[in-house]
Amino acid sequence: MDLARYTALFLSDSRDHLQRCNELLLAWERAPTATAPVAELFRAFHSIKGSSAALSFEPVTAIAHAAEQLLGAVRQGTLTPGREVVDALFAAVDALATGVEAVGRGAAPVPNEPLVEMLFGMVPSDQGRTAEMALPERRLHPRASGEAQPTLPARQVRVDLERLDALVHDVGELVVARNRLATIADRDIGSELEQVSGRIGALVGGLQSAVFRARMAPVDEVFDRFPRMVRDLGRELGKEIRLELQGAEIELDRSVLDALTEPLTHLLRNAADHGLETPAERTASGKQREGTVRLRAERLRDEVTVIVSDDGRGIDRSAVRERAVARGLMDPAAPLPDAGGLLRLLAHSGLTTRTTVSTVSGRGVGIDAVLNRVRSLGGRMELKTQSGRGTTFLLHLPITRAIVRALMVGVDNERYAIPFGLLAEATVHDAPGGEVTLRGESLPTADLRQVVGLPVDQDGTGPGTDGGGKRAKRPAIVIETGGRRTALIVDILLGQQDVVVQQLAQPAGLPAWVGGATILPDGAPALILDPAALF
Amino acid sequence: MGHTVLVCDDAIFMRTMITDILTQAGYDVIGEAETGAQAVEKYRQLKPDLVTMDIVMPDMGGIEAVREICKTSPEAKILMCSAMGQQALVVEAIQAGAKDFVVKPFQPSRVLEAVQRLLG
Repeated sequence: MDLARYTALFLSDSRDHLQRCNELLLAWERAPTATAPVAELFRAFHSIKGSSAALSFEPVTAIAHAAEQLLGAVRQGTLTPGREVVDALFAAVDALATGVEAVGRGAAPVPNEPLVEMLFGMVPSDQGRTAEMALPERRLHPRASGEAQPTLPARQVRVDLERLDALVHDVGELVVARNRLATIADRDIGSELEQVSGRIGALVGGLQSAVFRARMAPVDEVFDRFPRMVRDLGRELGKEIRLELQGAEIELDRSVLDALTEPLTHLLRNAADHGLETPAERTASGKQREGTVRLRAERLRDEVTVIVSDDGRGIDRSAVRERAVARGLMDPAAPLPDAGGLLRLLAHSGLTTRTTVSTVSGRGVGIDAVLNRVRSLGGRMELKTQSGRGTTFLLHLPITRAIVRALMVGVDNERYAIPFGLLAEATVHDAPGGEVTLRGESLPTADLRQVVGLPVDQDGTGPGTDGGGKRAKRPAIVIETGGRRTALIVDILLGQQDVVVQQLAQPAGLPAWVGGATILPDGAPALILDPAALF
Repeated sequence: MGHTVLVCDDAIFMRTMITDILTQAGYDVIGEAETGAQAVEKYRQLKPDLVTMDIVMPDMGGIEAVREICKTSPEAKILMCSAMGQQALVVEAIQAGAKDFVVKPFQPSRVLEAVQRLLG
């Protein structure tokens, strides 16, 4: 028996079943008078029981069996379902998840006798523990039964994520080689080499798109854990919260998706804890008792926007300004911050307007982590808030991180790539030593020569440029992040390039402004800049 | 080149396990079914030498599927797969037409023993 393979199957199967159980239990809890999805829940626990028994994970089998018994009693009519039963089943799901995840880590699942006893304690005693009352399934008539027909999934295969990543890596290398071939072939226009190179180029392009599409996954894979989390949060905080999910079928690159889990978790917890008021407060201000948190995904061309919004109290700008002034982050005479300013202040680690630390969302230091994560994914964040009405966070993300359209710039003979997503415009700088001005506005400015450690003459030029005592004009890139504009002066603009991003393992001492590396069509390496990190 | 088998269970884990046990012993698994209704349909299409049938399945359970198959093909050789303690249902399955049963979790030797006995 190939243990590793069966264990992997057990893990993915059980996780799917447990997710389904959560969905069914949440739906059941919201509509207790509707027909309970007992049969489907029964089958889910039954399956987990079977596969865990086959692999001798006894603690998991014991819990699944107890839950199955409980559902059997409900199905038979000997036990009336109510809040107690649903809570017990939620507890069973969580305990099973703990066991499954232990297996996933290579550890042995730990028995949970108290839970098993509790579950059996709810089963009417005349049933007996050993008799398995699995009821024969009757054929479901779609109209007569309250249960939906099981939907058959689209034909799919399971692929090891590592294999897919290896494939993406290899295709990335292929793209680099393809670009080099094109450069060489273009020296001989009309030749057979050029024709074949063109053909290869088209094929590689198609392969690349297909492989990236294979890496795409619907945001639902991350969204689907949140209804349960928000439901538990509501219980914990004594608030009535409804989570609405929209656009769950929209797709994103899997690595971007995985990286979103933590930020979204944090924003949702924030919304539940800080954003939404208690039912009493809400009724007092004329709102519905139940607060709504909305998690939504939208797609616009090359970008996906994930939105977390609540209809709670909104962010108190005065309170934020007060804290900012108290910490010396802001001039007392300055006006109330606008949305962009508010986001920057909130993201300043350590700034919180809460005087007590809540166990749910801590000190509010998470917004800076969310912002950093979004930026590291090549995206940007936006904030909208209205006092008394609610708050909305928008996370704008590129669909894929692996290939980036970049502007190539040069200083001396070195070339650097700046992702287009952050570029606002380009201009000319002719006031060496001073800041770049754009339509009268003075922008915080950096000189790429200085950044990378090349000599800069007093008149703002270097040996490689048209200096020598004359005021030389140099191009400057205007960068926009989170509503803030900055400028980067370079020696020369070289043109646009689609670069395949190679993530760099981050050795200590690597400057923050290095966002990655790439190989250019002529085979030379170039660093990718993260200009936001320069300021 | 051996006897053909149709494997019916709603859990991919179980189907994989049974298929592995049978294939390694030289049997030819020619089809799989996830529901009782699919089991009946695939039996009709494929006419396998042997069927392994789970009891708990959606859209027609295993026992009713056995009944349906035996209505039109009384010669069908069906091996029932039950979980521990489903004795009462196993009796019902045999009455519906199943020829033998094995209990989960499977012992590969026990499964093969039952299969060999059924196929003669």
